[in-house]
Amino acid sequence: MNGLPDRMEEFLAGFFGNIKFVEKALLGLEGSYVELLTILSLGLLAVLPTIVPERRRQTWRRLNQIFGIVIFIYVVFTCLGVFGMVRNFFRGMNEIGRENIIALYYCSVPVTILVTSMLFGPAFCGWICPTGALQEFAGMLTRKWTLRRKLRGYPFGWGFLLTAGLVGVVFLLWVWRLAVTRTFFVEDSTIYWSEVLVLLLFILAFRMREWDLKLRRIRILSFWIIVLGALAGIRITSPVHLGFAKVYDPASLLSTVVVVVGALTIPNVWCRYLCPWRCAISWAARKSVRFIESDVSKCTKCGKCFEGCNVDAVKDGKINTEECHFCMKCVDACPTNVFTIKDDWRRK
Amino acid sequence: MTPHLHIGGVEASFGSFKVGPVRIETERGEYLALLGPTGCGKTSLLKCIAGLKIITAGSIRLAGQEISGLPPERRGVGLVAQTGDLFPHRNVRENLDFGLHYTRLNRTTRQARLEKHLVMFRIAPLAHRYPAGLSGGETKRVALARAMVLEPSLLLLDEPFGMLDHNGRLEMAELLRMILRELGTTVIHVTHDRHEAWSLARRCAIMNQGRIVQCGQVADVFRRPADVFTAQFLGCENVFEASFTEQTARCGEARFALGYKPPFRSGFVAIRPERIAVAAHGQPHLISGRLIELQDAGDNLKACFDCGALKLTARLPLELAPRLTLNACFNLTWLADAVHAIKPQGDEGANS
Amino acid sequence: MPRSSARTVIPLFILAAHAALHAMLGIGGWLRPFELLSLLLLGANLVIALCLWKGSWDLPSGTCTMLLIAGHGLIGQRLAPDSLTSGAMLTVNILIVYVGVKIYEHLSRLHFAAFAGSYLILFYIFLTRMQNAEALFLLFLMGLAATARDFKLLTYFWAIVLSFTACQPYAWETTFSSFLILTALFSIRDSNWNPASVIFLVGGMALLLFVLLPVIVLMAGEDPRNVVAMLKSESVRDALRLTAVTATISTVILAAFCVPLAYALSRLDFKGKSLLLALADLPIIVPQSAAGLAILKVFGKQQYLGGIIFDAFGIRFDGSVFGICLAQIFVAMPFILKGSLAAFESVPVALEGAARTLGASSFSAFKRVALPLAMKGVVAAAILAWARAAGEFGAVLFVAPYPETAPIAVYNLFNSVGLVQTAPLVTTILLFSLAMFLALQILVKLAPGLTRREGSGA
Repeated sequence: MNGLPDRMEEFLAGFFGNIKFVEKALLGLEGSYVELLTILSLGLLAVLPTIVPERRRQTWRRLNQIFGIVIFIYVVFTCLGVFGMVRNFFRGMNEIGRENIIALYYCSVPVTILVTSMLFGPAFCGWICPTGALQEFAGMLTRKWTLRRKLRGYPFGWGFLLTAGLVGVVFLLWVWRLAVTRTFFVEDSTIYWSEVLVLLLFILAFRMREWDLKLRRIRILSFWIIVLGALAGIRITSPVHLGFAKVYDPASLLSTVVVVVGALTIPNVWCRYLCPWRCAISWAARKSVRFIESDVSKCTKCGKCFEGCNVDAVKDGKINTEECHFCMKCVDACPTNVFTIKDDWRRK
Repeated sequence: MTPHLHIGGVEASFGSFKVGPVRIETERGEYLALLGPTGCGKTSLLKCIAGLKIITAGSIRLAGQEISGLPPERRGVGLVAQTGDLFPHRNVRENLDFGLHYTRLNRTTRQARLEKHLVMFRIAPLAHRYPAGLSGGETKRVALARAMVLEPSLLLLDEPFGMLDHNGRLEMAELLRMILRELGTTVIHVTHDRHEAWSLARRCAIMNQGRIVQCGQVADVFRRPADVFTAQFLGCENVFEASFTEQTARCGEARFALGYKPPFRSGFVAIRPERIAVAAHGQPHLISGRLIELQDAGDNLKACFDCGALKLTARLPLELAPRLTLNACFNLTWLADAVHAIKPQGDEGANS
Repeated sequence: MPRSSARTVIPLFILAAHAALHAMLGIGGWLRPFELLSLLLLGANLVIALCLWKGSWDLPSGTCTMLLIAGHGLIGQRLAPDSLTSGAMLTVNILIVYVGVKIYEHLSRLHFAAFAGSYLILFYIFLTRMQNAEALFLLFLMGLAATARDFKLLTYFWAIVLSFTACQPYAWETTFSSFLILTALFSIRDSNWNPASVIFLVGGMALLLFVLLPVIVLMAGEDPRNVVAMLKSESVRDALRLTAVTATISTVILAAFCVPLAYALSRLDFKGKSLLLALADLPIIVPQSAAGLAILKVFGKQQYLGGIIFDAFGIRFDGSVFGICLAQIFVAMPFILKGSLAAFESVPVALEGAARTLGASSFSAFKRVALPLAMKGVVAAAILAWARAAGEFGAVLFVAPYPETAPIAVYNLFNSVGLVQTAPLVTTILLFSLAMFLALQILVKLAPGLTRREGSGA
């Protein structure tokens, strides 16, 4: 019995003899296997949306999101930050041909996200992204109220405006106080992004309905700022970074708080208006193999898909692919099966 | 009464091409058609009148004032070019306003006049469009309105029906009649199409190789062309060399009654093809000929008859079609006033 | 739905073989039987087999995945040092096989051949030609999986691969250039497509980018912090300011004289016009150093004309801002003259005629018709002239080496400290010029919009 495997091993060693793969395979950076686990887990997560049973899809999705947060906190912390990811991607690309293992280390997350988006649609946003998950979980607390507001077409109300104003003023005062007392805060552009978010909240309080789609273009701006920042080597810390950085990062905490508070009033506010990755993902997923096909002729205009959607990407059976997070709530909510998830390898 | 526009002995040269001497007079409010083949100098003459070309001799008087020495902007002559020449960087309204800018009218008058003309020329809906987006007919209307908004006493139209379809022509003709009727503008309308002259003008001038060869009432010019060129240009296909004795013209063996005595012994006769009729059997006829060619021209039949020495072309009514068979002989007849005697070529005396 | 026998037999067979081999090898000691990953993989194969039986997974890709998993479960840990590495490899392999099966099923044979060929070439490049590039192999395999279904995407993918392997020191620059060419090629309107012009386009763009490569490399390769530091230095700012100011003055003077001249040349015909046009090209033909010397010879303070001007106005040209402007005007003149001439020639004379009959004087017709219509070309010509004036080196060096304009500052710095220390300054100047140029270009875009509203009056 012993002889056969040994001979097989010899045979294999001989067979792959000229390939280094056998001699020395991948070695993680500093003994960690971040990049490998990323590929492994993201690959699994990307496949999951179609494998999970349809009846309990949303439950599976929540589980997936929690799993995503865990993975990102404990495994991929260096690469997570939505901003840092762009910067690290650039850094990783620069290492290609020099320190290949570092290149993999920095590129694995963004490459996996882009590749899965190009093939399996923007499922990262709806199923994995920890920032999105954080906002979604926060939004659940105020879901009743935000849904009512949404169904009434985001009406203008003094109460909401005053509350938002108060929160904004308090926040800005706090930031100002921090900025004058601790110099390191001023340099951190997280503050800048947080303030933008606060300003957005104000604008939204007034003219949400008219300005919604226009404001979403800020994502493109945000993307280019990050890319140019990466090219110029400017350090930008992203929100939701605090849990993942080894160093204690109060600025990041601040922006995380803002994102969560923002998500209480407008579901997924970060994804809608500011996320630079959303910009790249919707570009990559524009012609993805997997997509949600909608048969508008079946639509009864019951409004259930619109109710469920966190990012207002669907209305009366029509999906705005630029915005869609692939969370498939609309697919599950639709009573007349307007939506079907399809794979089209010839899609162009 | 002195004529409104008096062009006397105007000459101009464009490289080797020479225009003139040209003499034209028009009354106030008159619509004069200037007919001539392509390249005869019609457009050049218009440019001379408008002041865009410098004349080398002669005088142009408008309302008694000599304008040939004035720059174009002070002549008060409106010109509508063949292509319209709208300013592509201004919308329709701004195109109309371009000239008003120089009129020193106050703002409200300007505005009112602009609005009036936008409505009058049916271009109010186009007011904010740019010339690039206008159709041919719209372009022409805007160009016309742009010239007319300044209320010139003389309007020069260069092929206003050029590049227009049938409906566009009808609409344009209606507008031009309105100008004539309501605004009393003197118009010179340059064209190469004799039907336009018929439909709009009372007087017409025929131009050939830079000169006016005949000028007069439209009907006069058509019925009594002054020379062979005019006759042929106006669609008279039957022009034959002839000698005249008393009131009779002789072409080879054929003799035609003229009804008047021409002042020259030899020259040409012109027989308008639409006046020739086929005589019924037994009725008196002037000539008989063999039908050698028959062509349906839409509203008439073009028939060529071989009458011995002469080849007559006739425009016959469509009802005759069943009777006309090729190579059959027909008797042809016409009234005496269908025949017109033309002076011999090179004799300039009869030019009126 | 009747279950086909293949759906039952194949998964069962693979699962049984996997389990049996796992047990056999485990007993044989070649494989640790109770290792986490291999057990997980065995479990995964069970799940997939269940899926296949239920019909919720299609047979070809399911079978391939099962085989892959079985293979990895049995010999994976012998190839990779740890389960995670093995797992990552497995994930990528499954992805590749999945995509391969789908391409084979849904797309043409050519697509599949391109996919398989790409895989083999990637294998060759990363695993046999490069050292320690297994990580890259995984990365690029994922890229291949995402792009293989579309030839356009695949071309972009290969542009990236080749840029980052074959053209290594200039990877980003090559990526940028090749993307530019590819995008241009792929976005040609079908109606205008013909082989001759496409080949000419590719050839021309390749040369253009080859020539522009040094500039791109210089700009992309420089650390932005050095540029910022450069911008903070007083002397650099002075040089940039001087360049911008003198170039602007020169352009304004040129525009004031050459634009009307160009209009006149486009409207008038006279004897000696072609000679005049040929003379206007002289500054292009004359070497810049010679031009500088010529200017010095006439306008130098010791020379006759220069002396007179100095005595009369107190203006000296050698070594002063006036001299810089003079040299810049000399070299930039043909650009604005020829550009404006072409612009005015494209405006039909008949339009001005129409304006004249509407009451405009010839000056007014120029101002309200010819100039607005030619404005785009005139401004483009002025921008070119500005850029030429700002970049002038030779003539300025002879006429006025001090005060230093930017090109002369580069030359002086290069002479004193050499290539490496000069690079940030050059990058700074390039970025500065580019920024100015782009800003002016945007102005041109706005120009017709501005002129369109001119004189709308009523």
